[in-house]
Amino acid sequence: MSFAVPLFLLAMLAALIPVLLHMINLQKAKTIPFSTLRFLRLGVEKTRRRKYLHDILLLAFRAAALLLIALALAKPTVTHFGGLLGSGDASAVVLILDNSSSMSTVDVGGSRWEAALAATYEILDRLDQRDSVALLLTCGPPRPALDQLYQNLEVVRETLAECRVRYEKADLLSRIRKAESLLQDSSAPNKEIYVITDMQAVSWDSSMAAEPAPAGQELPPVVLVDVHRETLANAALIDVTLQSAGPVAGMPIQATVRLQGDLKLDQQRHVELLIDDQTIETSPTITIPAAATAEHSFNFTVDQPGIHTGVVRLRGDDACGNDNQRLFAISAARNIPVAVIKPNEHEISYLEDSYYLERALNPVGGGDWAIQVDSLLPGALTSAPLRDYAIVFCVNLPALDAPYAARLRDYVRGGGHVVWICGDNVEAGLYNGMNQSAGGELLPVSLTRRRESESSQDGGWNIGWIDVAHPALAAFAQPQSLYQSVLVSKYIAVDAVDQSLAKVLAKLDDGDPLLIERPVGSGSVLFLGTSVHVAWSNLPLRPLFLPLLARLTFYLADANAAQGQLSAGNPIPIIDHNSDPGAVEPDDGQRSHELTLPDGNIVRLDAESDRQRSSFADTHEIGIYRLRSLRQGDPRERAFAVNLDPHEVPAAISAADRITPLVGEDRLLVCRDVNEIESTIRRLREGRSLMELFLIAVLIVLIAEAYLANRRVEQEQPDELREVRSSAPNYRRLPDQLDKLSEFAQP
Amino acid sequence: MKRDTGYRYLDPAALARLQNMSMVARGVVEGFISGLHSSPYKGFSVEFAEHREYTRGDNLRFLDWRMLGRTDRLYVKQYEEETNLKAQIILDTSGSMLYRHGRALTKLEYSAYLTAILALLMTRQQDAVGLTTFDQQINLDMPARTSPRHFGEMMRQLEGICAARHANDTPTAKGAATNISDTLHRLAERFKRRCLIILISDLYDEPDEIIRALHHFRHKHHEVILFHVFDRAEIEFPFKETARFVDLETGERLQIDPSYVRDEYRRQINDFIEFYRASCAECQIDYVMTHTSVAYDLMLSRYLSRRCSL
Repeated sequence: MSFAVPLFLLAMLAALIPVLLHMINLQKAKTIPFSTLRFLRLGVEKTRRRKYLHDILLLAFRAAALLLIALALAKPTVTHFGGLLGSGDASAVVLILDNSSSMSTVDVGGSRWEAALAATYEILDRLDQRDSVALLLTCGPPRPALDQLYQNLEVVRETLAECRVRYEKADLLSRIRKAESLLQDSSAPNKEIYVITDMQAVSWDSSMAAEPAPAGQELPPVVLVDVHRETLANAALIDVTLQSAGPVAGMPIQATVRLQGDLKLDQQRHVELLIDDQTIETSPTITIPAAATAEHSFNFTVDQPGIHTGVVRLRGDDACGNDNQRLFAISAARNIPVAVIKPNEHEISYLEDSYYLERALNPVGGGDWAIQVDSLLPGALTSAPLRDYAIVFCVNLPALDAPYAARLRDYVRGGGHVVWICGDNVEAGLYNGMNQSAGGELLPVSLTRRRESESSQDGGWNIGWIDVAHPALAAFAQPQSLYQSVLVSKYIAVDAVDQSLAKVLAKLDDGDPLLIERPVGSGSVLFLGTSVHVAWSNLPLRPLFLPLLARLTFYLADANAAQGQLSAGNPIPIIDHNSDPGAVEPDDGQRSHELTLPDGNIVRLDAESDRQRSSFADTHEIGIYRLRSLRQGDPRERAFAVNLDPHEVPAAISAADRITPLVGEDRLLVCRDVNEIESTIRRLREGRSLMELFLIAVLIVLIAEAYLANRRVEQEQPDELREVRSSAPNYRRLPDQLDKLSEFAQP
Repeated sequence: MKRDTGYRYLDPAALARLQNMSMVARGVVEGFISGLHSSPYKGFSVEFAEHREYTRGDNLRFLDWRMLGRTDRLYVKQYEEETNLKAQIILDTSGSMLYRHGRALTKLEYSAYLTAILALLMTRQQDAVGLTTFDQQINLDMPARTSPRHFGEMMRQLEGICAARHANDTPTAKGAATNISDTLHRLAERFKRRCLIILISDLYDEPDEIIRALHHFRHKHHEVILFHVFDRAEIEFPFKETARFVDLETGERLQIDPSYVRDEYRRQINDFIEFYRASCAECQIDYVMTHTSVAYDLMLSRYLSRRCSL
C-alpha cells in the first residue's frame, strides 16, 4: 500500500487520544462517600468481565475511527490485492517529451533537458516487459516510425539517446491528442500518458485546447512531469528588424535588435553584429529592465551585391544559450531592374509619355545607378523576360490584348509589380475589359470615366491626401504643400474601392482616389489616375515627383524581403518567381529549385505547376537557407534566415491549475520532482484509491461506536431522583405549636 | 438550630400533624401509673371502683349489663387498673448513618427528628421514654422517665450527639463502625420490665445477627418497632459517572462505573430489605422501612394510624 499524502499518517497518533482520555478520566474520577460498599463489591465482582470487554470494545472503536480517518486522508492505494483490481495487467504508455528550445535552459541544479531525460529513463525503468510504449517528441522533423507503440523498450531507449533539444515551439496539447488516438487503438487494459516538460506557458497555447475530448471515450490519465526548477538569470534576442531604402548594394541598412530581459532581474549586456563572419560593431552596454524589452539599432552597409549573412549575438553566458543569437540574410542587388513600357517612340524624346518617368528613375541615364531602367514597347510583352524585372511601369498604354494581359497577370502572381500610369490612350471601358480577361487581377479597381478640368482658370484638382502610414509615402508627411501643390487637370475616375482588396494611397481634393494599390498573388498592381507628363498634371515638375518614384520603386522591390526571416519549423515558401507563361515547363523529374541547407547539403525541389508555389518544411535547424531557381535564365538566389521561435525564450511558466482544464479535471497528475515518478506510477499502475473504502469503514465504526455507547447510556438512565426534603422545622409557620411545647422547654 | 422555646429536632409542623396520635402499646406492658396501656398487675383498684357513663369509644367489655337492665342506661365499670408505657428508643449513630445524597437530610438527622417526635408523643401521654445511642458501643443510655425535664435533657443529649457526629462529616472521613447485634443483646439483658423498644438504624451489619438480637428482645417480652432508615440514593443508586466510592464506616475505596453495578446493587439492596421485612414479620416486630426523602411526620402518621387500627 502506498500513500499519496503520507504526511497525514502522522495523524494516526490521534488514535492514542481515546486511550489518554480514558487514563485521564480514571485519574480524575470523583470521590463519592457512600454508606457501605458491601453491595457494590458484589456487583463489581459480577460485572468485571462484561465491563472490561465493553470498555475495550469502545476504546477500540474510537481508536479505529481515528486511525481510519488518518489513513483515508493519506489517500492510500492498494498494492497487495492489485491483481484483483486489474493492476497486474499490461499497460500501454505514451511518453511525450518536450524538446522545445526552452528545455535547453539551465536552472538551479542543472539543465532541464538532462532532468527530462532522467525522468524519461526513470519511467522506462518502471515499465514492465509486458508493457508497450511510444515516444512522441514535440519538436523536430516528423518521425513516423515513432508514432506507434513498441513492445521492445530498447527501441525507445535508442531513440531517446538520439534526441536533442530543437529550436521550435512545442504544442503539447496536440501531442496529447495524438497520444490519445494511439492509445485508443491499443487493447491494453491500462493506458497512461506521461508529459515531460518544463511547463512553459506557450507550449499549452494551442487551438487544440478548444477541441473537446471525443464523447464516450474513456481518456487515459495524464502524468505531468515538471522538470522546471528555480531559474537563473537570462536575456534573449527575440527579433531583428532590417530597414533599408532599397535592396541594393551600397544602400544604408538599419538593423534593430529587440532584447527580452529576465523575469526578475535588470541586466546589462552587450550585443555584437557580424556580417559575413566579420564583426561590424559591438553595442555599448544595454540595460534590459526586468520583465521588459530593450532595443538597439546598428547601421551598416553592404558594398557588394549578393547574399550576405548577418548575425546578432548577445555577449556573455546566461541560463539559455539558444536565444543568444539571431541570424538574418541580406539580398543586395547591384541595382533594381525596372521596365518602362510606353505606347511608342517619339523622335522628340521629351514628347514621349515616359520621358519624365525614365529620368526620374535613373537621372544619370547609365548603369551605375540603383535603378536600371529598360524602356520597352508593348510588343516586347510577348518576348521580354518579365521575371528579370522587379517592376513594370505601363505608361499610357492602350488596353492590352488578352494574351499580353494574361502574361502580365502571371508575372504579378509570381511576385512582380505592375504600375499603371494613365494618359490619353487609357480608355476606361477597354481597360475594364482587359482586366476582366485577366481574371480581375490586373487592375486594383474598375475604371469609370476620364475627368478633365472645365476651364483653364481653375487649373484642376490638387492632391488633397496621402497615406502617410504607407512605407513608401511616410517621408512626405510634412510639409503638406509638398503634395498639395500638385495640380491635376485630367484623371481617370474609378469605382468605389473595395477596402478588403485594395488600398487608396492618395486622393484628390474632390475625394476621388488618385493612387491605388492592390496585392495580387506574391506581387501587386498599382494604378495612378493621372499621367506622368505635363499634359495631365504638373506632377513631373514638382519636387515630389523624383523622390516619390524612387521610394515607390524601392518599396516595391523590397516587398518580398519580409519573407526572408522564419522561425524554426515554419516552411520556406518556394516561389516560381517571375515564371514565364510562355516558357516551357520542365519535364517530369526535372527539379525547378535548389535549396542549400545550413549544413551545406543541397536539396532539389519542384514547384507545383498549378499554383507556382510550394514549400520546404524541414526547417528544424536554424541557419541560412539559400534558394536558387534552376530555370534557365533565372539567376536569382534568395536567402532565408531560420531562427529560434521567439516565443520559446524561457519566460512564463504555466501553473498546473491552468493546465488542468485543458487536459481534463480528473485525469491530470503532476509530479513536481523526478523522485515523485515512482510513487505516481505505483499509484497509477498498482493501485486503486482506498480512500472511499476507508471512509466507509470510518462510518461503520462510528455507527457501531454510537450503538455501543448509546446502549450503555440507556442502561445508565436511572429514575430521576426527586429531592423530597423531609419536613424540617418551621417555627414561623406554626407559632401556636411552640406554645404547646413550652412545657417541655428547658427552664 | 435551637430556638428559645423549642429543640432542633422537634418540628412544630410535624407535631401539629401528629397531635391527635398516640403511641399505644400493642401488648401488655408493665407501667407504674395509670395510663393507656394494659397492665399485667392487679393493684388496689383491681376490683370495682365506680360506674362511669358510657361514652362513645369505650370498650364494650366493661359495660355493666346489670345497670343496663336495671336503669336502661349505659354505664361502664371501672375496676381494672390501666398503666403507662415504658419505651426505649435505640438510635444508631454509626458512620453509615451520616450518609446523604445531595441536599437531603443525613440518615442520622432524619432519625433524630423521628426520635424527637416519638419521644414527645409518648411523654405527652404520660409514658416514660428513654434514649440509647450506639455505634460500636453504647454512647448514651438514658433510662425511661415521664417528666418533661427528662424530655428536655434527652433532646439536648440528642442534639449534642448529632452535632458531634456531623462535626466530622467530611466526604471521606472515616466514621464509627457499627456493632448492632452485640449492642442489642446487651440492651435486651438490661431491660428487666416489659417495654416498647424502638430501634432506628440502617442495619448495616450482619442481618442474621441483628435478627437474632431482635429475637432476644421478643424473648424478654418486649415489643419492638424497627425503623429501617435509608437514603433514597442507597436504594436507587442514581450515580452515572465512574467514581471512587468511599465507605463511610471503614474508609475503604472502590472505583466503580455505576452503570455496570447498578442492577446488581439494586437486587442486593432489595434482598436486604426483604430479609428484614420477612424476619420481622416472623417474630412479630413492626418493620417500618423509610428513606430520608419521605417526610418523617407523614411516614409516622401513617404508621401510627395503621398501628391503632390493628
